Amino acid sequence: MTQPPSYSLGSYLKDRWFQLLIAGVVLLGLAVMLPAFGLNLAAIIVIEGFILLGYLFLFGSDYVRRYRFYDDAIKLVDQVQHVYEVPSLLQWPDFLDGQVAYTIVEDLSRQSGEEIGLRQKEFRDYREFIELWVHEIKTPLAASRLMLATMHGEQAVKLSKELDRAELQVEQVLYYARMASLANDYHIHEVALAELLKDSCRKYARYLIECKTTPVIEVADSETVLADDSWLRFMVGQIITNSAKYEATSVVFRSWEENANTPHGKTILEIADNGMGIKAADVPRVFDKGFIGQNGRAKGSATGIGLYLVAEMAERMGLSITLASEEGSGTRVLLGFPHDRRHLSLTKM
Amino acid sequence: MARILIIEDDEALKNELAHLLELSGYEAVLEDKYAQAAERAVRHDPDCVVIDLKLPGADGLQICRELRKISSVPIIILTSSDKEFDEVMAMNLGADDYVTKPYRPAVLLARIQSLIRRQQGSNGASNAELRIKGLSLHLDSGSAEYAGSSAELTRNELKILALLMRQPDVILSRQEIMEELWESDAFIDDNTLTVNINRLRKKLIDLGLPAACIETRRGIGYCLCTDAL
Repeated sequence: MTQPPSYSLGSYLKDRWFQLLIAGVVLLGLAVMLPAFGLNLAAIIVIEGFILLGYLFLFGSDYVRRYRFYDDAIKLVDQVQHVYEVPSLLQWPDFLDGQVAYTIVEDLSRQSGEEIGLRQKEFRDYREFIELWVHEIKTPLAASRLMLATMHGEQAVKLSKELDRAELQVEQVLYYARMASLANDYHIHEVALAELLKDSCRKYARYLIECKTTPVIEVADSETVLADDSWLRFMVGQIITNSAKYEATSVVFRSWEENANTPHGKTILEIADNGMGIKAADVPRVFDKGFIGQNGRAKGSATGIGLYLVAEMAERMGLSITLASEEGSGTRVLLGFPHDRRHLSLTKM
Repeated sequence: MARILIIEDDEALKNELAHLLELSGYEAVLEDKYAQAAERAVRHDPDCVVIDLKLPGADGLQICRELRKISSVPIIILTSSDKEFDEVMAMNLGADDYVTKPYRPAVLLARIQSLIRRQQGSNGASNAELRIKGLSLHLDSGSAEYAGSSAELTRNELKILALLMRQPDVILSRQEIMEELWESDAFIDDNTLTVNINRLRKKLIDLGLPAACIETRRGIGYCLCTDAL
């Protein structure tokens, strides 16, 4: 948004340079011409003074009227959250060009307001549809899972892997829809970290076992962090299923505190795997939306959404996230949980 | 045989669940109408009720509430919602447990089993012992007994033996056994499972059981052979 010019007396006079020039010419012309009519100096001063007074009143009253309107408008633009709210808070101006501007801006704001409302509603509908769809798709997935439970052999194992992939994708869709909508439906609570990590490992047990990936939880049972429970679960789930997907045989969870008892104190959760690692050139972009690195292309089932969502959620909750990796030896993800609640994005506690 | 009532309107899900329960040694009764399900549920006299919640706040919870008013039967809620809210709701309305879709069948079976065991336990019958022929396993103390001598088992060994004894003569895959162990936070890898099984087998041999009691089917899994006992 470009900053509007300030409505000061200086900028007003600068804007009226032509009228002021004419006024000056008139005064000057009279000063030259009036003596030719034989008027004495006193009469000329009175006439010139009278006209000058008239000009002062004209420009002054004009300035004051405009100043009231425009200065209000400029200040409101700074104060309100959305510029389209300005017209409804502004007084109807008592001069023509102000009225023209006001009418146009009001139209504009009403239209954009309607447009935004419409888009928001569309988006809400879309999100609701996705959530409903995710609900519905889980029923056939659950039924397939049950059918599979009574099947054995190589085919069953393959099918089970495919189902796992489908389930992971469905979960991503759900969280993607939730993230894309501006609603921040998360709540920061104290979360028992070790229990959450164990839960996540249990949740993805089948996938991890199939991929021969073993979690090692070295986080103390008493460790707690401030985060949204379900978002953190999703984040951990994405990270560990990535580890499994990219051939890690172990995922080690550790935690420690940094700068404890200071305003910058935080708990660091490290999730380190010994998988194939990420190419150095790809590392800076892993959190980018839609980015698929060399590994993803090689494996052929990446969407570039998982880690993007993880980073996005971390940012919204005010957590720090970094990823380090060495090709061929593994990947480490570090999540930083601030101790001080003021450093977290606290909404609607 | 324990009778499980399934309240579910999805055709495929309902039939598969019933099939799985029957294979696991339960009697499955189906109810696919949500209207007045609570009254009909009681008439089946089930040992456990599984209710699909469908959408949050919809009929499932209502049934749960009504059923709880007239019966103390264990209730498990199935739902596809992951919101904590639903969990709290289901518990307040009297459900005993809660499984989110897509669930792992092994988890659901374990939950049903533990609810039924708890229910029977409260009725006086103890189920803390598994017994096949001469071999008995005390789940509380974690010891196995055979021909008058007994052996202390570790937590993992106990889990494995219990799993094998609950489904004798059925080959359980390494994957299934590992999933079961992970369920109780023992995140063991492949090698550890082999070591655990070997140690368990050695303890059973020391008790006087033949080595063939836990049979290894290479590439498939393990099986507790009742013929060898």
